Amino acid sequence: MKYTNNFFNKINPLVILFMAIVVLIIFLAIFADFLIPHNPLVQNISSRLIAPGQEFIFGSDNFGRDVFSRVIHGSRSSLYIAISSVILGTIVGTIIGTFSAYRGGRIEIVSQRVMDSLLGFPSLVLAIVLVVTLGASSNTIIIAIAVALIPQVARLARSHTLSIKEENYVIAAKTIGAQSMNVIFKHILPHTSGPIVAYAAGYVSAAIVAESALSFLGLGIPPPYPSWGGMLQEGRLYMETAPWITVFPGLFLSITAFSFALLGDFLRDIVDPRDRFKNNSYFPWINKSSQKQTKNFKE
Amino acid sequence: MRMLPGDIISWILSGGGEAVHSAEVREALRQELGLNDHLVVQYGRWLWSMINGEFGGSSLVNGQPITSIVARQFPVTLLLVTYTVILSVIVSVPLGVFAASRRNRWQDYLVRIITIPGQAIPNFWSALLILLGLLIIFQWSPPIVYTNPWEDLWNHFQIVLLPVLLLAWEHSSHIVRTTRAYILEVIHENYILSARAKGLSERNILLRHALRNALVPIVTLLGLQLGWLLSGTLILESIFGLPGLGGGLVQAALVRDYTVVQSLATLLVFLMLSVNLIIDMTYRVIDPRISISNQMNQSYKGPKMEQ
Repeated sequence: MKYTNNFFNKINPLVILFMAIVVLIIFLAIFADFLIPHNPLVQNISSRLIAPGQEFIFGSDNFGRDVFSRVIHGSRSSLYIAISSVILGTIVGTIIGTFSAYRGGRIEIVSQRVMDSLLGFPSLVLAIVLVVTLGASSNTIIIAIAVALIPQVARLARSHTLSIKEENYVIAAKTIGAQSMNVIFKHILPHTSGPIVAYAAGYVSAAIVAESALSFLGLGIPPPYPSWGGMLQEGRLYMETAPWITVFPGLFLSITAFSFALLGDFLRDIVDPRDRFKNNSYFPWINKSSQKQTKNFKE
Repeated sequence: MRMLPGDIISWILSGGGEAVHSAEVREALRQELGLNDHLVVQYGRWLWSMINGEFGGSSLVNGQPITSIVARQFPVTLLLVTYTVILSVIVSVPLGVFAASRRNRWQDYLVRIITIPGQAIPNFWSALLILLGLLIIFQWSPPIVYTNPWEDLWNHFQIVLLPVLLLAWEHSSHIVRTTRAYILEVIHENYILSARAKGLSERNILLRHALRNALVPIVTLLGLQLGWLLSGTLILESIFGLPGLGGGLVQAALVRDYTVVQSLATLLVFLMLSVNLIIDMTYRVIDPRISISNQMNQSYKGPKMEQ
């Protein structure tokens, strides 16, 4: 693979730790049904607001549901929505960006203007407008988050395609009469996909936060289904008497978002190992010292 | 916008609770609000009201004109955003320069450790935690009723303090990182070397030569971050009960008050675009090498630094 060398050069214990966390959370999300001690939806008034302890590891909420089970189950909806929205946004954005750059002309101008106007929206405002328009369900939330991602990916795909379009091998392929679909899929996309995938992976964490923000505002996954943002919202009222309802989902949310963000940074680093301090051939001593310093520089 | 038209009708009729009304009553109300018209007609009516100064007509729920809603909510958000931007610029640019000048020493690590949670922790969770902490430790919680600064300054300060601090923390984390990165980038340029050779003081070099050239990407970031900042105000306004545009938008969205959502979202986009326009114009003040006409012709990608 193209990036294998970079991967082994850049990896460090911190990255491995956060990779392990991500893998663990994905594992929890997939096998949630087998791991949880209680049903996350069944309400039981007799066990309301019990502090964390033997029976309820993370305590119980105002309906007597086990917070631990709900947190674990919440990871499933969070990851499902975040990952599907990122996949959707990436695919649509890549198609728009690549085709508009490859074709040029009127298609490019129109799609560029549409993308620019989408970029003008603050992402959460756009998501709220879409959720109001289409109604709150997990599919609409996926679309709402994806729409915020589409213009960013399209812009990235477009700029990479524009430079690769002029490469000799693309011109050669066109000269021997290759179909444009063939050129795009065989010659352009393999070269643009690296940075796009890295960017998309970095966006997963933002998508997780966006989903919880929507649920927190009451515009996300409708209750009683557990989601981290929704649990924060429900727990808000009981914050003084039962802080565990808000603390644990938030903790999981923060750790997950942070791990995914760091992993995204790491992937971007592998794909695009841009040395911020380029070789300075006039003053080699600067070059030497700057490279030494670069090692500790995370960016 | 109108795929779930039943919601608003039942919301208005029931006053928020559960109630059953006959089909005739519903139909009459729909007719009165104009929800039976064709979508294009409704949209056209909304567009026309944007132009003729009614700013989207009036709220579907309580019939308040949107202009008065906006007049009440806009100053709150504007003040919140202004405080945040001023505070984060004042704090974070010097902090970034400081971290860059002490790179890889403990001061640098301290700054980085402070900024990481600002970027990683979702602000609604940290807001809840801080509220909880203040309540438990100091038995203090912010006042419930918002007042404008010209009415009751102390009350205003108390209620605005926490959201501004949280937003500024999040906002400035990005600025600190960018400032640090770009200062470290330009510090290896030849003109810094010549400034050193002239015997200028380190402070002078950092502020007059390095920071000046790193300013353009920082200001660009300010514009890009504005979208995140507005999203942040949206959430924090609803947590802290500030009657701003964001909280208003969320409230309107919850009851499906279409006209208000449309108008407020338009206003937020307008706010964002105008700030970005202002930022585009300040480039020239910051860096005289950039000409306006050049910006018009090709998208701007930072100052070109020839070797």
